[in-house]
Amino acid sequence: MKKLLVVLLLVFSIFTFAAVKNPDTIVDVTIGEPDTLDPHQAYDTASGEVIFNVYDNLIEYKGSSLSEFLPRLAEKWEIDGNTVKFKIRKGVKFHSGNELTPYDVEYTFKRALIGNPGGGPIWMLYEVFFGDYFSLKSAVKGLTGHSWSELVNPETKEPVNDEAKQILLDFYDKYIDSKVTVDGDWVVFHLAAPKVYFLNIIAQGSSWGAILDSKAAMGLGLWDGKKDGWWKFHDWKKEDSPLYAKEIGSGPYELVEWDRTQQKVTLKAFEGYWRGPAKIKNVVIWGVDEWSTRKAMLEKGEADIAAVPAQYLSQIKGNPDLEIIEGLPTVSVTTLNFNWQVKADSPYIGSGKLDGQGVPTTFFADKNVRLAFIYSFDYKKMIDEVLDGYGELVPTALPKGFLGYDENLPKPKFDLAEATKYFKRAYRGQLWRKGFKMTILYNTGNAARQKSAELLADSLKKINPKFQAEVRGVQWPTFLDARKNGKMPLYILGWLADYPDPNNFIYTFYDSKGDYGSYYGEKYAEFASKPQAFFGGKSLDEMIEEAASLTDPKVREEIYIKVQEFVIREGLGVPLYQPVGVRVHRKWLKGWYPNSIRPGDDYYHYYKSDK
Amino acid sequence: MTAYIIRRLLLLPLIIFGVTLIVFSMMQLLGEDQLLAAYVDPNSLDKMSAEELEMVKEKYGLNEDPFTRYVKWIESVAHGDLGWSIVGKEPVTKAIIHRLPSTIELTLYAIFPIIGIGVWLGVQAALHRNKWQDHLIRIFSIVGWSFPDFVFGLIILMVFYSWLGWFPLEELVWKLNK
Repeated sequence: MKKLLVVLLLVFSIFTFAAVKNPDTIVDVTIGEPDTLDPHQAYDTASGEVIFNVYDNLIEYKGSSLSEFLPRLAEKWEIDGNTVKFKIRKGVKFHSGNELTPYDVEYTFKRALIGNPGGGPIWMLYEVFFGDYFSLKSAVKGLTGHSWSELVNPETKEPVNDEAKQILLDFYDKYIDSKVTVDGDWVVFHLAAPKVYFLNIIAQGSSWGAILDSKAAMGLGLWDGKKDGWWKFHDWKKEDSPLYAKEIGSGPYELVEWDRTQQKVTLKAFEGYWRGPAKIKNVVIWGVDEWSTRKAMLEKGEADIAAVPAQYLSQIKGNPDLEIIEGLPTVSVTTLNFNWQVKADSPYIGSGKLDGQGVPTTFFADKNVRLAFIYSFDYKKMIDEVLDGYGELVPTALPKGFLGYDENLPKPKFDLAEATKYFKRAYRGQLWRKGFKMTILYNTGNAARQKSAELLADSLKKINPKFQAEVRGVQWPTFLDARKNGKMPLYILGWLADYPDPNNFIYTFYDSKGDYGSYYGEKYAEFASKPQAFFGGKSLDEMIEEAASLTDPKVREEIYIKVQEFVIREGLGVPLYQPVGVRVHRKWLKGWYPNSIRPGDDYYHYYKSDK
Repeated sequence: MTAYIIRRLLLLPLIIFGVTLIVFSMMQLLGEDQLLAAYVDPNSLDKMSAEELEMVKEKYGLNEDPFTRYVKWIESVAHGDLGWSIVGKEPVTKAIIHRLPSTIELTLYAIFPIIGIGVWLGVQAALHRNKWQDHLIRIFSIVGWSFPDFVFGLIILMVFYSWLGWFPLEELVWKLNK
């Protein structure tokens, strides 16, 4: 009986907003809820969606484009080498009533650099402002020669002595204060090197580019904007931030409440919005984790938008009230990656020798082996059976929709005859005769990664019974640790875009300093920095880094295509699939447009109509 | 009787100590990296460098030895600070205060039907021992007891929400939201 009442309660709570007859309200039922609403801490799409709608950034994407921009809080902008200037719009009001000034922009980015919570998104700003450093702590260490813990007492959060204090004050003057400056109506950003994707990094959709109301921020106890004591505002815990469940933006919506008991965020239109108030007055973003509940709400019209996992799509297809849009490219990709130099003490390479009982540590430094593996994976089966068809093949780790994506590049192919050919060539036929043994790890709970590994192991055995790949599930920390320490010979991992520029994928996967490339072992680093005739004497790393520094999209595109040709030719890892998304909403909801980098919905453009 | 109560009361701190120790040890079994997943979004966990992982561990005190962490935890609990609820996304004390009234209300609503119907069914079963009424009631109880919550929940949802569309909802929701 008690059970029953608990369930009833759940059912009751569904009726909070009867939206069917209410054209002013949109209810979006989704999975989960935000992680934090502090724009400098939020790094997930659920948080990003709320931040997107309550804050304005300097610029926004033009419709569905990922590379063209429109002005937002900035009226216009100019790029000149390392400096990027934005003219700040006048007459914009924050939700508090304060008027936007160029100082708010300066304050926002400095607070981001100072606050820089570990594990958050601010590394992107460090990358463009500092080049070689990806966090405040590493910048302090690299530029002053002292580690953070030598300078600041972790208990009191104060400098350990006067000398340390002076070092921190000097650091601020030299490296923080100089990055963002105000010049009349303009805000000037001083980057470490010309980086055209700076615009992508800060455009609407990136929480970390949202502009804060500096007066409101100081009132809440965020950084006071002063040089003295800036260190106290560094690396706060998520829950300690005053912006954890508050907003101080200028966006089209104001936050009414984030109800964590019900996983529900309620927004209301900001009447003083500079572009004019939104047509939809109330928005409810509600984490309803149970699919059948979401389905019932959507069918009854109590929800306007619902998250629909691919496997349930058939349940609602054919409903005349619903609009279902399929085949939307996502901005993530899952790849198979090779480690060119496995640590000798790795437990995953058997004997560590080419004796049929293991693999040599430099197994994947052999191009024949890599290509053979690439031909051994059944891509179509993976997409059809595991993803229910909601995935696409792409030529390299660069997802469809990005600059440099080229439909004409060859996509990976499952071909056992080709695989056999390359396996027979490797190690002058020895590999074929002796066979090998290795372990492919996946993190337990990730069904897609498990299935991918099993598919690969299956076809390897089919090619030659002496090819033994054992698929083993391990805990995520073990997996991370094995990768970090170069112990896995090969592994399957995904990457979700931070900003929609090819650099976020090409650099990550193929530059030997990239987030993934740096784990392919020393042999790979050697290879990537070696001059290549294919690139007219330049190295792979040089090509990738050059493409990041150029501004002309045409030239960049050419380089990225060239890099991808090289990647395919050399078999430097292979993308297994790019997931494809589905969008479902009631037909009466108008104004939706796709944009694959946007977190969630852009409610400002919505209205409801039966026509 | 008094001696018994006193004995039990004297034992209480010992039991509480034992419970905290067990709860704490269970959390330790997860390992510090697993604990980290509670603090950092999985997407960023995929992307963090080893150095950054250490920074986050340090921030949340995950790199300290278990004994120090246990002492710190007990210390704050003794001061009324139960910590931060990762699931509820608010301080634990606040989460309890928020949820307690509804829990009590629901329990009270549930108890009366349970006692009323339950006792009546029990009496009926006893009166008609081994007759069809008894069997029926037994089957009903066994099915009710062993039915998984999530299946039962879905059926209720389907019948009362999708098909019948009943309930004086507004009032209760309003109360819960307050």
